[in-house]
Amino acid sequence: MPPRSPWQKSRQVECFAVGQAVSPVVQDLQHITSLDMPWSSLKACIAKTTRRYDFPDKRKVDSSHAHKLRDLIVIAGLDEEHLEHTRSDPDFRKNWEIVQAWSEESRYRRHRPDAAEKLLGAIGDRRHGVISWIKLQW
Amino acid sequence: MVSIDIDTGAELVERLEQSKVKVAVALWAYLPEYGDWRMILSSRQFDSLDLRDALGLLHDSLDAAGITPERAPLVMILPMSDPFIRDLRRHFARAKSVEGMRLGGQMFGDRFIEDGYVYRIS
Repeated sequence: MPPRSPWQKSRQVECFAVGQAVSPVVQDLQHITSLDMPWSSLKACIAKTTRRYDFPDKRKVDSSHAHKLRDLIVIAGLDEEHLEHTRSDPDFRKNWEIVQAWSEESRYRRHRPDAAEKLLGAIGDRRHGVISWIKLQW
Repeated sequence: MVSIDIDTGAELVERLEQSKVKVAVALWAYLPEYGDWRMILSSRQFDSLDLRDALGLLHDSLDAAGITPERAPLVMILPMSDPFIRDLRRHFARAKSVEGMRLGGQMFGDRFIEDGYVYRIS
């Protein structure tokens, strides 16, 4: 087996960000980044609503630091679009619920490897995934 | 928690049981790690399915009960082997009736429950 490149080694990081025993599936920098994508992508949508020279509404700024998908959707002004997509795409609805079942803190508990794989699938599914839909709102 | 949440949860459990899903555990729970109320469901039928199929079955039941996505509770399906579910069942499965029972400030399995409203534990 050829020696691993420094890049490969750096990707095989200790899985401190998602708990110590999730699985080798998420013991990868790329996957750790993916886990946070739905939340950070929605925050990007919120940031986009702020124009240059705007004096941001403090309540909106404070609430956008939340980590609940439902709240972030409302703050980003995407609740109607989200509901519509949930109604029209049953696979997206399932993916959304899989992602929503996780939280900022629950990521640190021990999860079974298949649960972590399901989460990554729900986030990254090209046609019905959570990120695919959020990207359309950017 | 508002009363409509309790009614919606009851409707959902009833509809699942009409769909031949024997619900072993159903409760509203406020778990600090999520910071919100979630409807927790556990059933051997869900365990026998892939999570996506279990969610499909859940959505069918929500639709059949007339619970639209905007009214749908935030649901977490936990396997029967989850320590939280096992501990709840160990404590209450033999109780005569748990419907309407409130829980709170207790640790069950590996989860601390801050507040809870029970429909089923069997």
